[in-house]
Amino acid sequence: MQVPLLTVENLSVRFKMPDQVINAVNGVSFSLNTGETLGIVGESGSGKTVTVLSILGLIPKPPGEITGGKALFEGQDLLPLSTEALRSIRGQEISMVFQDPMTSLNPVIKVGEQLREALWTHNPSESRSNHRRRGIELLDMVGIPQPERRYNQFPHEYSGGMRQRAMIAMAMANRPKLLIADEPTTALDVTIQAQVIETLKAARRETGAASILITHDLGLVSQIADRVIVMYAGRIVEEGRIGDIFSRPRHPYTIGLLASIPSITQRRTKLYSIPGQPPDMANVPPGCPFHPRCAVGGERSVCRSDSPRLAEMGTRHQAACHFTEEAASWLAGRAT
Amino acid sequence: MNTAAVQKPILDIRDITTSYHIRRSGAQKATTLVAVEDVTLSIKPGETVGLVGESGCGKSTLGRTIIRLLEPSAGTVSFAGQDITHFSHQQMRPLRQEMQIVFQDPYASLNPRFRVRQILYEPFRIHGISKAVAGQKIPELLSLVQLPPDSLRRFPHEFSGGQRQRIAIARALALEPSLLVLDEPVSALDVSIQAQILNLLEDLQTELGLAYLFIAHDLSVVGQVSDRVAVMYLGRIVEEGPRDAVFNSPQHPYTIALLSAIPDISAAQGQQTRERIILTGDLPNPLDPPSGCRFRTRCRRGDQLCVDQEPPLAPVSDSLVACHYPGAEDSGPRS
Repeated sequence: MQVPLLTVENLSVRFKMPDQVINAVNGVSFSLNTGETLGIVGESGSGKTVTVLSILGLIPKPPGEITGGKALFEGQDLLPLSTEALRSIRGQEISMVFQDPMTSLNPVIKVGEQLREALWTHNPSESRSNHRRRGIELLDMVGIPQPERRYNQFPHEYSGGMRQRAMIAMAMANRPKLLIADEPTTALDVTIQAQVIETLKAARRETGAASILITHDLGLVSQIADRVIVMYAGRIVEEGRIGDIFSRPRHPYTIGLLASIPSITQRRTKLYSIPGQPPDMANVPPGCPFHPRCAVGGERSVCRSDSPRLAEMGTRHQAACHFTEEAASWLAGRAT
Repeated sequence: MNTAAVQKPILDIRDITTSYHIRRSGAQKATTLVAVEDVTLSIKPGETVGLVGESGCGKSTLGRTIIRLLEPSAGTVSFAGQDITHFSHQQMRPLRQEMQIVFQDPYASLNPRFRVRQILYEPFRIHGISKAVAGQKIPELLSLVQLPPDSLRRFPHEFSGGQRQRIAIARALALEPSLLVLDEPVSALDVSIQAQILNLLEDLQTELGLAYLFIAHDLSVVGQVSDRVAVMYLGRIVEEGPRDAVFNSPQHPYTIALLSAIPDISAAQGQQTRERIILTGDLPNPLDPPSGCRFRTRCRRGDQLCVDQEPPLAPVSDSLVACHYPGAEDSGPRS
């Protein structure tokens, strides 16, 4: 069996605010193999971004605090590392693309200059002209037309989609082993989204990097990921391969999410909607955090008192629910 | 719905053009940005017309022109049979009760210093309706949008995004309008909440017979709620027709590309999906749109005719399509 590139074990993160404590991530475990793409899906506040940021040492401390767990990257635990040690891993071994390219690019420095800096930081011995050549190659790789001319332009001269592609170029500059993309297409128009997804796929093919895609968009995940983790209230509620999650979801939250997506091929008479609101993270319901909104467990005492653990549903398919059997038949009942 | 065929539209716009004058730094003269050009559209009572397009295509400008928040530079806007194109503020006032707008961001559109009671009272106050009447109506509005009665005492920040959008909808319904312009009403909301709001809007329509102009960039959301769909590209409608015609047999290459670009979960569910078309390039600069057909710079079908002549919106099967080479298949000459 292959040794995973990244193994996260029992990660817990909390934020200590003056008047409340927010348990943003609660005992999250997952692993990622070389060349694999993992999607992390959840709504705002589900802990999907905090999970990844805390692995990279990017959460503000205080108020953030990692209360437990390990994050083994190639066998080395990242969590206890110093800021300097982490910095040399970020950008080199692991790189990241964020939602809004305009805030991640420096507006007063030319794009080429920023690319060159990314290359230089991790490879200072190389000559300036070599960095320039490699920079132009990278812009070309992500599909930016006229890369020589674009190299010398400022971010504001780029369109939104081009900026995001420049960010991907920068993230791939040092051939990272792991690329993390946090809502990389959310700020973009539909046709540009499709372009950026293709760019991500091409960059991944080119470098063989593993990737983690964080998003609220199940459709996007279905197109690019091999496996998916569904998070709710700082926990993993379901995990599995794409085909299993989309065709045989076992957690009522996953089932509800899938049923609430409008379909373009057929107009449903009425969309299913998950009742209620996402939980207030300072005040998470006891027991299963999804129980107040759950169509299956809702009123049952075990759901209100015991938080279900992830249990095997099949090959590499896990769900955290006391009544997965009933959830499956509830789904079947809805489908007919 | 056999009455629908003979029913007069509540809203009818003809050949609308809306422009903005913008002064660029250093330039002596203001340039004109034509955001909406030559658009004709009508909405019947109880009907939902979906308006889709990417950012900068003019869909929000069109929405604001329809309810006369903007004055068009050409064309006519008629509401309930009355030409309101050049109505003054004073003249528009009584009509404002009839047409309301709901914006994307419920955080920005609700006054944070007002309690919900005050927010919902504002429309009544502005239109000089007595406190007694308002006092009776306000609790009804809350129950229409399925918020608990104790919400009245609370401030917007005490609510989640979805609940705030419910408050904004309640406010829009206060004066019993017949037309609602919904400008990206669910795009700021989480997936599970989106479905709640879409269902609420459908229930309200059935209950109150409202007409909706539903503006969104998300085709799957538009497809869920609309009876008819209009697709905009760089200020013009490129395709318009019944929901099923536009979604199941799109004719304009832009519509085809937009539909194929939606990340669709059916592939992961083992169902067959349509071919994915990735459009090249970005949206052209609206200050300097291409000659002829505006879509030609990103089109796979284009030829010299498309460079020379702007295609008119003409009937193709059940829809209206502005393309020299319409067709569901990828037909026509390639450049």
